[in-house]
Amino acid sequence: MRKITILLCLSVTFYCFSQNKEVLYNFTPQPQSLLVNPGADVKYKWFVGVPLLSGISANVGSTGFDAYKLFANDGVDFTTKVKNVLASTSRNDYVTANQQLEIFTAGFRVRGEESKSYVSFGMYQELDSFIYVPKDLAILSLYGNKDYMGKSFDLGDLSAKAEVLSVFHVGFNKQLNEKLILGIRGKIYSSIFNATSTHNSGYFYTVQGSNLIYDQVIKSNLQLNTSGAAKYLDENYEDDLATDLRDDIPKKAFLGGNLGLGLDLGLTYYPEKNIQITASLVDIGFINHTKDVVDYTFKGDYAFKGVITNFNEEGTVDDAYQDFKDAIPFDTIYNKYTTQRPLKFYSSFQYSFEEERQTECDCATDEDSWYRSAVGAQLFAMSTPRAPMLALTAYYRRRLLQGLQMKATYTIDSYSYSNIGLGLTTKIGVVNFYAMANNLLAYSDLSKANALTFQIGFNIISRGSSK
Amino acid sequence: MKFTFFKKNILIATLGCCLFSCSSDLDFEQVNDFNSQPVFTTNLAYFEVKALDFVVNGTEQPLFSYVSNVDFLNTSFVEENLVKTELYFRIKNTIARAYFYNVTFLDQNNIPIYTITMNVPAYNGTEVLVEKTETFTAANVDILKRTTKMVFSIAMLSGPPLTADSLGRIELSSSITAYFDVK
Repeated sequence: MRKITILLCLSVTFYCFSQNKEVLYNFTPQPQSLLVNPGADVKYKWFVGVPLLSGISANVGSTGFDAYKLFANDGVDFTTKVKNVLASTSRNDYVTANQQLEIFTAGFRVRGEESKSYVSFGMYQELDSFIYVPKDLAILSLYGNKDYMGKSFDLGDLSAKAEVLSVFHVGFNKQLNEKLILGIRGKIYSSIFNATSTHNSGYFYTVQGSNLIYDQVIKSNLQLNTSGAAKYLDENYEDDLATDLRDDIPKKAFLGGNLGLGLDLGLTYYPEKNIQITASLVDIGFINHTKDVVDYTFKGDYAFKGVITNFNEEGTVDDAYQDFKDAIPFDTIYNKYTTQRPLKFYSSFQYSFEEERQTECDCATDEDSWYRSAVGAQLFAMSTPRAPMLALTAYYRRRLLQGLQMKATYTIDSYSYSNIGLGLTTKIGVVNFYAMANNLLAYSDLSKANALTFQIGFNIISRGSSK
Repeated sequence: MKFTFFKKNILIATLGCCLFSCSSDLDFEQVNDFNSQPVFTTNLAYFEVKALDFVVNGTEQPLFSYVSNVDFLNTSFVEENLVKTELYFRIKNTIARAYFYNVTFLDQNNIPIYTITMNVPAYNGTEVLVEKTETFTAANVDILKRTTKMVFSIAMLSGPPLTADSLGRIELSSSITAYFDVK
């Protein structure tokens, strides 16, 4: 069993590569849909996720290039491939990875049979990274400046962040009336590791000079903040990394890391019985990094005039290299900092049809069960260090059989214009299994996919969810 | 029963992934073959000497020199990756005297290990321009890696003596172009 789980996790992490959970969103038979909209129209008496297996999701994405372009085993020199990828990407192309693992989750209906209020809670671990292609810096380090006279290299191209954290959450979902459901989820973040370098700026240029051969200037405002890794970044660190990590991570995961607070808000509204509108905001939150903080700065400006110039001191032995290091020192500082969680916005419009009353089901108030099929559209937006990431999805949802529901999606986003996704959720007795994947067309050659999302999980759900 | 159900589903999901997806042959080991060959260019030295700078207490000094640290050539990055270098010198002369402009490389014991000599003719109405490019290839680039100081000196050749009233200047501009091979 353990081997299978490990194998599966590995295959998931290997295959996977956007944060957009377009298949899961508003796929209400699945209690995990509450994590993307706390105001989702869910129905259950209670549910318990199978620990560590209730929600395994990962997604990876890159714009402008794919794994094949870099790693194809085609005999082309790797450096040439890197140069080609660099030539075909812009500073706004990026690579993202997001992975979530539910440690535990559960939920229950509060205040008896007739109540329409639900509580759900749990803990999950999340890995999140977002790296822009550092175009100009890459050109500089691959080619140097000789053939780029007059070009101003933008040091602000360096923008990246990565973090591993655990999240404890409690959500409340209440149907106010026939038309409106509201939900809210409070979160405590415990950051295990964070590295953020997203507010960089500066330039470096070389132009032909008059007296000097070149006029060459660098202005640098670069900073990398890290937390949770101080011990490992110390140059005298010599202990066993694996052992230390094994001791360290559980402590930090269970509220021993840098803490933060967050909030999710959501709603579902039925203007008509068969028309549904939803919206949610996920991860309105911040983390205060105060413990284990190490920051690196490279700030200052310098004009490269050469080893001797009588523009500065005269008659002395100059040391331009030392001057440079003094002008733009590489410093290590220990200032606390705050990071925002990437804010996600979802909304959807859905039209349901094929009305049928389920005589066999005792959940007569379940709106969805009156309709076998639905079509809809969703909008997703996420904050990034630069322009927000956007995605538009059209979907078709259908109850195939008693206990088997399907959602098919077509998504247009920055990664691709032909992303087809599919989600299936089954419930046999009280056991629920779900699997979702997107970018199915890319499965014919995964290495050429710009983005992949995969999510599976097991739950025990009692009554009222196999709508 | 429950366990078997899980196992089955996990197996089906895993097999599903394996059976219905394909991937072109990827080789991640290639990263080890990464090799960048950047070429950087920057100013090496600049200085200007006026004719009257050669005159001390009314007498001409035949030699004028500047010593400079070039310890950036001794950093480990340069040591490991520098494969070729071009030093470019440009001298503009408006002093009515001919001279040798020498650039002498000193190692860490201040022992001269290399000298570049430029023969600069006297000014006769139009600005004299002397250019020289010295190339160090894989065969002798080690000389640069061993260099810790450079001495820039001007040795005047015989001619009408310079006085406090002498006009003209010598301007040296130079650049270094470094070819790296980073593996």
